[in-house]
Amino acid sequence: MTGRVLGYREIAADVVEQCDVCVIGTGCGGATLGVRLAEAGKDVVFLERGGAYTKEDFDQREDNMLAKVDGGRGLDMSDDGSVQRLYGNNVGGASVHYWADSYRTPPDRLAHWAQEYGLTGHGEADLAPHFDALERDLSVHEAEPRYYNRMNQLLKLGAGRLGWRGAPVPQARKGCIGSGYCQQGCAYDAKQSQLVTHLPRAVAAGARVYADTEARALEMTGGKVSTLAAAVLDRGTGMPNGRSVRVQAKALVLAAGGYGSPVFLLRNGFKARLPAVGEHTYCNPCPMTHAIFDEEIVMFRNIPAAWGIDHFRLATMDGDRYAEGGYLLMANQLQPAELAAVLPGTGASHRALMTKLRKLGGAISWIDDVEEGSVSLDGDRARYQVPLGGGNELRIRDAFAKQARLLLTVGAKEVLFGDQRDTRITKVGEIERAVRSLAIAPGNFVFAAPHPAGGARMGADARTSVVGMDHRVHGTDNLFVADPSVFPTAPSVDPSLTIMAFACVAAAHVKASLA
Amino acid sequence: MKPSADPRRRRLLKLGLGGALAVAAGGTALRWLAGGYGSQLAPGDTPIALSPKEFAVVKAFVDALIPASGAFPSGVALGVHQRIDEEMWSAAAPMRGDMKNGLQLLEHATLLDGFGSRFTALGAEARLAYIEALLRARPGALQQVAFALKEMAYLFYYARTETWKGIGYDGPFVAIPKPPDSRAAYQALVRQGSAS
Repeated sequence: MTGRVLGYREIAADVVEQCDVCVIGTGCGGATLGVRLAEAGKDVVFLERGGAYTKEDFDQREDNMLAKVDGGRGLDMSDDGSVQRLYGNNVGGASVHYWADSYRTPPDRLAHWAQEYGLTGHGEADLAPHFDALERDLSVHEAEPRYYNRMNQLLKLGAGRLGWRGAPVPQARKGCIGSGYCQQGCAYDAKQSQLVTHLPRAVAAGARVYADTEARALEMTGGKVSTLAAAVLDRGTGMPNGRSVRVQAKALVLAAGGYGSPVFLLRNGFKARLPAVGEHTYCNPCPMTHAIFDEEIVMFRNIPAAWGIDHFRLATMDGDRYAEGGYLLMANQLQPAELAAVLPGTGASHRALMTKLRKLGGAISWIDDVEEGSVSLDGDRARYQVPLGGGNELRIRDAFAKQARLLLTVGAKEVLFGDQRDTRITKVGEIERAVRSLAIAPGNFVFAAPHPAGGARMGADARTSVVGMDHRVHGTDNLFVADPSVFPTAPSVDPSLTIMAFACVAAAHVKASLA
Repeated sequence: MKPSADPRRRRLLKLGLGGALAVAAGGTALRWLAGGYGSQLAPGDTPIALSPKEFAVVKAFVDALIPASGAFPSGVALGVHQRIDEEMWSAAAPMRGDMKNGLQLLEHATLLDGFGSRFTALGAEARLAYIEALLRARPGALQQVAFALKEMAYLFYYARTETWKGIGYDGPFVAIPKPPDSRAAYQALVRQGSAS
């Protein structure tokens, strides 16, 4: 077979494909799995709901790029509007808009998954060779100091002053020019997304990629998927254009992402036999704090998170009570329009902030959420529930406090918490009272949530999990899942490398199933 | 009823539990109050996803939120209201439906909140005061509508080249914009709408 990438303009007639493996999704999970199978001589077909783009399409304009590479054009929310669900909708998935932070899964988290959830075959020793290969293939390395923008320099300085542990964030980049447009897709092919790493290799090995093609219905015979029916979408209107793609594959791999895969399973009726579908979800909601400095920060240039604070990655307890932590703390990076969207205030007060753009900095945290969410169907509409109370709220408040402390320590003249009541402080002594007064509630905050996990979690028991240790959906012969929806919890760090390492394990199991 | 001096002290609609349902029901019920909005469309205004009434609410919101100031053009002058219509056209149907219902409710909620007039009939100062009051009020469905509109308005306003010099943004390194396919599809509809 000759590999190729086809979009809605090239799919001129209905298509029927027969192949060894069909992969739904082309992000970190799907592409990583697909390239391993294609290079092993398997005939692989990818289906991707979003469009196929190249670096020439990445024009660094925020609203243009939101429409091209962000699922829901960046406007998809949780059911109560408190969480903005960020995910990819393009060939390459979320890796096209991610920050390229590339952590190995912390050994303590892998041990936790083994001990509490019974995971086998995904321990530190199992994943180590995959991490080695992935880091080599994606050029993962520590950024040189010249890639530290002022906000990252201040983050490191502040951590030193406060005695907080931090380290360079491993970066998947090659030849980065420091433009700062990572979230808009890299116009230089420097960020080592799936679009420029695994997917070209898979296509070179014969894989076919159908972009603008939405996987819809599984046709099953007993426990075996016989056919997958998909619809081709007109990228202009987002509506089906009347063309269809039907795939008959020996194995089908669901890798539509942490937000997408559970919904696909729900729509195909798996909830009736596997009650854990759509349950036990996480998303790393991200509180962010803004700050006004006297000096120029220019947060919108260079690498977003070159250096990070992992001092608080694990929550600490005081007896049975939460004490602090449970998140990573990073320099924030937003381009001007997205920053404008999340800054507090209206009219003249908002404009006054925007005219200080070059002196605005900020910090952001990925909350290692402990309160489980869920996704369910209301008719055909997916409804995502993300609880912000309980342990999640404690972590969010502590992250706000630590962010404010750090920003004030390195010279911020004013810290803004970004709530609609526009809570601001200028002194460290004001932090505790201000953070206690914040209403962590829908409408007062919107927390970006770029790291979904769970919803099709791994485990041995079909009553409490969705896939087994071989990534196969319980009770099926040839349906696998290879994305973060199989994680029992969030991984406590940016998940891209964990997703890829798990996909490597899944690829081996899929390959074995074809033998 | 005479508005009080401080809009934050006004009694606002508090739609907490079940607020989204109330927006849906209220928005649907209020659609019959649609008369006269079509005739208020200015030249160049061509709603595609939104009704003339919903479009008028969006435009009034943008007009209050982003007035012209110094070197900064107003949001309406940059067509931010039309851009929000484009986004609603591109959005998934459930999201579009939520927003349309929310806009219907926003237009009339001012009456219940003692402003004495529909949202679009208020002066710009009163509209901004109402928006600020909604944003600062106890969380509820109307607050979420205001929040979403505010986010979109500022996103699309500061995505425009005309605003960059004023905020000290030197802009992208890629010289030529390359809009998404949806832009051309939407603008084709706008041209058809303008011609009809």
